Amino acid sequence: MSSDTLSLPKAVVITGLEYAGNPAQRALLQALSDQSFVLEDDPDTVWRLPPDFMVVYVCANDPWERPKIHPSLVNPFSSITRIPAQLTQITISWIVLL
Amino acid sequence: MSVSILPNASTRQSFSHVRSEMQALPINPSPIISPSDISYLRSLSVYVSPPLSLHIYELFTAARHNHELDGTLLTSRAHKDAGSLIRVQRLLSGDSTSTELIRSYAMEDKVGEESSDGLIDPGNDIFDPTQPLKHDSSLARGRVQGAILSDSGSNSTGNTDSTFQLGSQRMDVSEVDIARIIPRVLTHRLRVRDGPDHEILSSVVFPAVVTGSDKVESHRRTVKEILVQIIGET
Repeated sequence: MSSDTLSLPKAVVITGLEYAGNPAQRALLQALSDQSFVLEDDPDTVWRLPPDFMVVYVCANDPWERPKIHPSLVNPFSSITRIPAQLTQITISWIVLL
Repeated sequence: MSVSILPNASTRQSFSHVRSEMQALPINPSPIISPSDISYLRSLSVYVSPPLSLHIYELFTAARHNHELDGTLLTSRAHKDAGSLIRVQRLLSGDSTSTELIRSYAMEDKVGEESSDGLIDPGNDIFDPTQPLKHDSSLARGRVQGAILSDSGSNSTGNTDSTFQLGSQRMDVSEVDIARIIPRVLTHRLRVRDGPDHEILSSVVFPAVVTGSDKVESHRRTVKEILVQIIGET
């Protein structure tokens, strides 16, 4: 059964992904590559990501390093924009688009 | 194929809460670019000339083989993304006549000041990811139409038929568009190697066991500095 009654949002903004464990990051990667996922609560429902689904990932910028997420998860993000943020110790943030 | 995700208890609770609210969320009343504009923009074709397509390849290769950078994540997908994003950049905020570089030379001549090396410093206006891309849809549309008008005006002055064949209009990507997008595509996929002893052929020079006195002191340039150099030289 596919869930047609409730549609998923077209875009998701994530932050703190680098603190999520390896399994969570791999699950996100797999969901993005399969364009679908199943919640363990409800194994019969396959959630399909909408076409043109987009993930925006916000994280601190390190001018020498990649974002500290799983290396395979870097690749789905196409592009970055740096945004100066004065609020915290973090002076520059990353936004990465799928 | 699909993947199983197990949300923890608190996530589940909030999810069921979201479930009930999600259908009530209003659809964004005024999208930045209206659907009709999007279909209009899709009807335009953006052309990357073979020399510039080669130029994109050169930039990728230069970044991948730069001795200071670890370019293992510069994949073919990155290259494909760069191609798409460059076209989008051209379409939405590119210069309508693709003459930005020439114009800046012309401006220099007009002022009568010879630039020191005749090159635009890519560190200033071209390479600046802190500057937001200009995404003014009305502006973009105006530019697009301006481009079409100027194109058709120069092509066929004798033709009095004023209906433009949108599908056949062609926009050329310029080097400036490439220089704007490439750093955005490359930066997060690159990291700077820890030092000369971490470079690919370092074992030729550096022994496997490094004693304290042999530690290599080196200045690590940032990804941005290296990319500016690559774009300037390529």
